Amino acid sequence: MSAHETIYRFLLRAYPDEFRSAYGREMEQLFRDQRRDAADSAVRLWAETVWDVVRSAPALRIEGARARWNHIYTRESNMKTMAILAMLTGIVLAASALIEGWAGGIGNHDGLSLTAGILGLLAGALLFAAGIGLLRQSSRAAMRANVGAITCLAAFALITVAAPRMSVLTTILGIGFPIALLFFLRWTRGRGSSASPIARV
Amino acid sequence: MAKKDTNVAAPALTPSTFQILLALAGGERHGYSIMKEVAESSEGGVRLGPGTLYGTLKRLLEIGLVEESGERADAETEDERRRYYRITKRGLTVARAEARRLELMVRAARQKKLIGPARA
Repeated sequence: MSAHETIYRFLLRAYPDEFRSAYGREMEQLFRDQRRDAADSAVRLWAETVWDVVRSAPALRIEGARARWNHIYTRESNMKTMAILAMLTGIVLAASALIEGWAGGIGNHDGLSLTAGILGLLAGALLFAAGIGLLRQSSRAAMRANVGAITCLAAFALITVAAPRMSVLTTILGIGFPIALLFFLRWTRGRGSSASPIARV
Repeated sequence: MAKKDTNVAAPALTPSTFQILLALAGGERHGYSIMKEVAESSEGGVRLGPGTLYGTLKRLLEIGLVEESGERADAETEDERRRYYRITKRGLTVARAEARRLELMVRAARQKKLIGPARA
């Protein structure tokens, strides 16, 4: 192997590993062909080669990183994560509503606390059901999750205004999570289909 | 309602992509052969380096406009074995659409007298 080829092989390290393993041998072969046919203008060949690496390697690295990112954070995996979060939040809300509201209501004979507890319990159950729907990825999962989130939000807004018997943390979770879920569902709705792949070649 | 083929209607391939598809429209070629054909057909205007060539080929393979057609030694030089590439039906459709788009642009440029009449 000539010194030129050794240097070119070193330059190829600028490309992503997977690209190098797929095309590295062919690129070296092509560089050899170019050198053979342009023996009298090595400086020009090297200038063009370096410029080619500078121009194409970063683009391929960015492309590779983007592909990896898209592979990890697909719409489906986002949906699954959100579904599990919805189920967990539903359980936490239902449990804390049960403890804070119902126990407080029975102990203190406070009707409003009892009502708030029942509403919170129902809201938590709805959020849990929304999570199950998202996890199953049924055709109407998004619609059910939307209904669950809005109902949960309405229930906790009602509790906060009419009977503020819940702890601050439960209230924030009961209002904050449904809002986050609604934003997420709206965001994923527009990401179902990607743009034409030809536009980027 | 019939589904619209957005891929075929997609606009503007990059010059290097179109040149590679053009080179392969004439038959299957290996990398260096594509590079030489592109340089010749563009009268030296488009010079593809190995990184640009294989980066573009990789994308074209991924979206099915080009496919590999085996590995063998060059019939002319009979040296090392090389991987050959050929254009797919879909690639031909896209190249035709791009050629048509460019043709319309050239016609418009001619009407505005930006360039002279077509050479015989």
